[in-house]
Amino acid sequence: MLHEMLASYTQNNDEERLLLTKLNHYFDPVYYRGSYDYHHIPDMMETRNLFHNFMTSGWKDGRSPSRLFDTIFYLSTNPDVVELGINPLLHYVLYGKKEGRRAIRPQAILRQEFDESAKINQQSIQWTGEIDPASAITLEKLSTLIKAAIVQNRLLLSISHDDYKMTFGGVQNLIEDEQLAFARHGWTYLHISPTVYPVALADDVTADMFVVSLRLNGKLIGRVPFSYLLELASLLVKDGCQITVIVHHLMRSSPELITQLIQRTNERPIIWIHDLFSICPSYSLLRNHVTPCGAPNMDSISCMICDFGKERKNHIRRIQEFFRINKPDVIAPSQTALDKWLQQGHYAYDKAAVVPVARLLMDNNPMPIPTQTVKKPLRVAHIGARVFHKGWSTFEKLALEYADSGKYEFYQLGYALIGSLPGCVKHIAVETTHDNRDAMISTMLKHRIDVVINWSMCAETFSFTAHEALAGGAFLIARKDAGNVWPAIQQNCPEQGMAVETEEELIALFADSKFTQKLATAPRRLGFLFPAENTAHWIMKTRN
Amino acid sequence: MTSAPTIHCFTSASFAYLDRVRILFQTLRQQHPDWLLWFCLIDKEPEGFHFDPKKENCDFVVRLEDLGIDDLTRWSFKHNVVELCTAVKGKMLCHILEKGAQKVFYLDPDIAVFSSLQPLVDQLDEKDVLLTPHLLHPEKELIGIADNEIGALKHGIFNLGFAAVSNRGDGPRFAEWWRDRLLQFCYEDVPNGIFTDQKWADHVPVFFPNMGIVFDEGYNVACWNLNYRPLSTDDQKNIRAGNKLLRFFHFTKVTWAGEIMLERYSRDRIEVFELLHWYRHQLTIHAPKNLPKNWWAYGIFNDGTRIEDWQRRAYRSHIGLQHQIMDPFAAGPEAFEAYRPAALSNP
Repeated sequence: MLHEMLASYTQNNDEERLLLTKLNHYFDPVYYRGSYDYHHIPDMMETRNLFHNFMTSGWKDGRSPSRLFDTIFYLSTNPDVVELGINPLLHYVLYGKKEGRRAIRPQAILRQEFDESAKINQQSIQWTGEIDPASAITLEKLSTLIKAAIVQNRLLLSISHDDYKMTFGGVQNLIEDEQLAFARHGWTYLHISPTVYPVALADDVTADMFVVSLRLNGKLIGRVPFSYLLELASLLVKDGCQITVIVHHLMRSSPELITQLIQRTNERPIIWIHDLFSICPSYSLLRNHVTPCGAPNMDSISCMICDFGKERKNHIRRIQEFFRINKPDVIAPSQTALDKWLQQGHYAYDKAAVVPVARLLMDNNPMPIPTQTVKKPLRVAHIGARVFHKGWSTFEKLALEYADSGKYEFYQLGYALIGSLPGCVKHIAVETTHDNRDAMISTMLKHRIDVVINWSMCAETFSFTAHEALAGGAFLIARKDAGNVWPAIQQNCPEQGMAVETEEELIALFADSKFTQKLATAPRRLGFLFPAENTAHWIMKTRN
Repeated sequence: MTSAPTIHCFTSASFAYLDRVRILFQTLRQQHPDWLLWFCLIDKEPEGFHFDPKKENCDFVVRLEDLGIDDLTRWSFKHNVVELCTAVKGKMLCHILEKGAQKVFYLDPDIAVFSSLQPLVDQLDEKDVLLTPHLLHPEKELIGIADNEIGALKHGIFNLGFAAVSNRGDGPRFAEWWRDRLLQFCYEDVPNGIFTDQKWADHVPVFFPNMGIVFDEGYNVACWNLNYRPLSTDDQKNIRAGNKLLRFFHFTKVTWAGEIMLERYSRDRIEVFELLHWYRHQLTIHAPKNLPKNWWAYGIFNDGTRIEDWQRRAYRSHIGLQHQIMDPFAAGPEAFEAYRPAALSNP
C-alpha cells in the first residue's frame, strides 16, 4: 500500500528510494511509538511497520512522525493540503518545503510553555479556611504538643512554600538538614507551609482563613488556621520562650500575616533568598515564563506584556513593606544571588550573608582520559528536570541537530519518563532522595558522561545540577547569563567548563571538529558534593 | 506663554470590537494621560446589554446617529461592518477639528500602544498629515511579494489604521476631501480600485504635498511588515521593531487569519508570540459582558435576519431600489429576493 502510494509520485525505483530517504529523515520510530499509549501500541514493533503505520493511518489520527514535523500544525495552516487528502508529510517533502511552508509551529515549545503556565497563573484560588477534620487540631492540643516539645526554651518557626518532606529539591533538602541540625542543639523546630497553592503571594487573607500545615521536629502534626500560631507565639513569649522566625519562601504566604507573627516573637527574623521571588513574582526572572528578563524597570514594555507584570507592582509594594517593618537578616546561597538581590531589591535589612547550601571539593588528580575516548562518540547529557526553563528544549534541539553526526551520543538523566523523548536521546532514570543525594553523580559516572549542557534559562541562585555535573567529572557547558551557573564553574574548576552566550552559538559550536576535540581532551576531575552550612550553623556562629 | 496644544485621538468600532477599543485606550492613556480620547460608536445596544459611556476609559463617545450624516438609514445599509466603521472616519476627523483641536490622531481599535507617540506629535509641527506605509522595504521572496507587496498594491500603499492630522495648512483640506470620498465610496471593492479608505490614501502625497511619510519602523508594526523589522528585546528590556523602539503594534485579525501571517513573518522571534499572548489575555479581560456573539445592530434587518453582502451590494448598486425602499432594515430580506444573484439561488 505504501509502495503504491509512493509509486504514484515517482517515475522509477531510484526516485522512490530517494523519496523514502527524504521521508525517513522526518521519521523517528522511538518518538512515534511514544505517541501511542503503551497498552494500545498496534502490532508494529519493527521500525518499518511503524513508518508504514504513520504513512497510511497514523497521520489521520493527528500523530506526528517526529519532533521535526507537526502533522496537526501542517494541516491546520494548509487547508489546500486537507482538501487534497494527501499525507501531509508526503506533501511537505514533495512540494511544501520548496514552497516555503513550515513543518512545525514556530517557537512551538516556548508558546506552549507560556500558554500553559499562564493558565496555571490565572487560576483563581479560594482561601476557604476549611480544614479537613482528619488533619485538624485544636489550639489547646497544638499548645500542649509544642510546649511538650520545647526543651531549651528555644523555638524556630520555619516558613516555606511547601511541605519539605513531601517534595524533593534543594530548598526542601536544606530545610530538612536545618531541622536536624537544630535538633542536635536541642532546639525545637516547627515548620509551617500553606495548604493552598497559588504561584504568588497569598491574597489579602485573614489569619482565620489562612490554613497552614505543621511539622514539629519533622513530624506532621496537622493543619491549623494561622491565627492559632499568632496566639501560641504570644503565649510562649510570655512564658519566656525565645522564638525565631526563618522565612525560606514567601510564595503562597501572606507577608502581612507573617509580619504579625514576627512581631509576636523576640528575635530578628531570617529571610533566605533561595530565588528572586522577592524581586518579581516570576521568581526565576523569566518574562512570560520563557524569556530571561533580569527583572527590568516595571515601566518597561517587558513588564507590560508579561503575565507577571501587572501583579509585580503590588507584589513589590507588599514585600518592600515586609522588609521595612521586619528589617531581617538576609541569607543567600551564593554571592551571585546576594549581589543580584542587593542590586535590585532595595529592601531594608540588618545583616546580609552568603551561606552556600552545598560544597564541592574537586579531586586534585585529573581523571584518566581513555585513549579511545577521542575516537568514540562523546556522551553529552542534560541532567535534572526535563523542563523548558532548565534548558531541556535547547538540549533537545542540539540532540536533533547532531543525532546523525556520529560524533556525539545524547543522554538525559532525570526522573522517570512520561511520554516520549526523541529517539536520539537515551533516557536514564535517576531517583535522588534525601538518603541518596549522590544518585545523579553516581549515575553520571556509571554511564561515563563526558559533557553536561546546563542551559538553564533562570537566574539560578545556586544550581545543584551544575555542581553535580562537575562532581560527576563532566565538562560543563553553561549559558553565560544563568545566575550562579557560570560563577560556580569559575569558582570551583574553571578548566572544566565554559560559558556560551546564545543558543545559536551553542549549536554552531558542536559542528566544529576542533571544539569536539577540545571537549574530548579537556582536563577533567571528579569531585565530592556534600551539604554545607544552614541556618543552624549561621545562628550559632553569629548570634550566640 | 502658550500652553501645549491638546492632542485628540479617535477610533471607531462596533460593540464586537469594544474589547479592542478598551485595550487601545488603556495603552494610549498609559503613554499620554493628557490626550483627549474619542470613541465613535457604530452600533446600538442589543437587549440585555448595557453600555455606559462614563465607565469607558475615554473622554467622548459619539454615536453614528450623532454625526449628522444625511440619509443615514439608507447610507448605513450599504456598508458592511468594516466599511461603515471606516466610512465615518473623515466625518469624525472634521468634527474634532471643528471643535478646535490642533492635532488629531486616528488609531484603529485593534492597535495597542507600547511607547510614547510624542515624536509624531512633534512631526505635526512641520507636516500637515502623517501616514504609515504598509511596507518600508522591498520583499525578497516570492511569498512575501505575493502576500505583502501585491497585497499593498491591492489594498493601498498606506495602512489607514493610523493617520495624524494638523489643524492648519493642508490638514483641514485633507480632512474634508477624505470625509467626502468616504461618505460616497468606502467599500471593499478591490476589482473596482477601492478598498475602504486605504486606496484613497494613495492620492495623498500628490494632493496634499505637505504630508509626511512615517519611516520609523516602530510605528504600525503588523504581520505584513514584520518580515523586515523583526522584533527583539533590547538591553533595557524594551521591545524593538527592527532598530527602533516599538511604538504601536497593529493586531490585525489576530483571532483568526492574522496568526498564520504572524507565524509566517515572525522570523521565529518569541517577542511576536509574547505580544500575541498578551493581547489575547487582554481581550479576555476587556470583553464586554452580555454582548450576544456576532452582534452588530446594522448587520441585521429589524426582524433579526442577518443582512447578506449581496443584499447590501444590490441596494447600493440599484438606484431604483434605493428610491423604492426608504428603510431597507424595516423592509426585511424578502424585499431583496428579486435581486439574489443566480450563483446564490437555491437549487
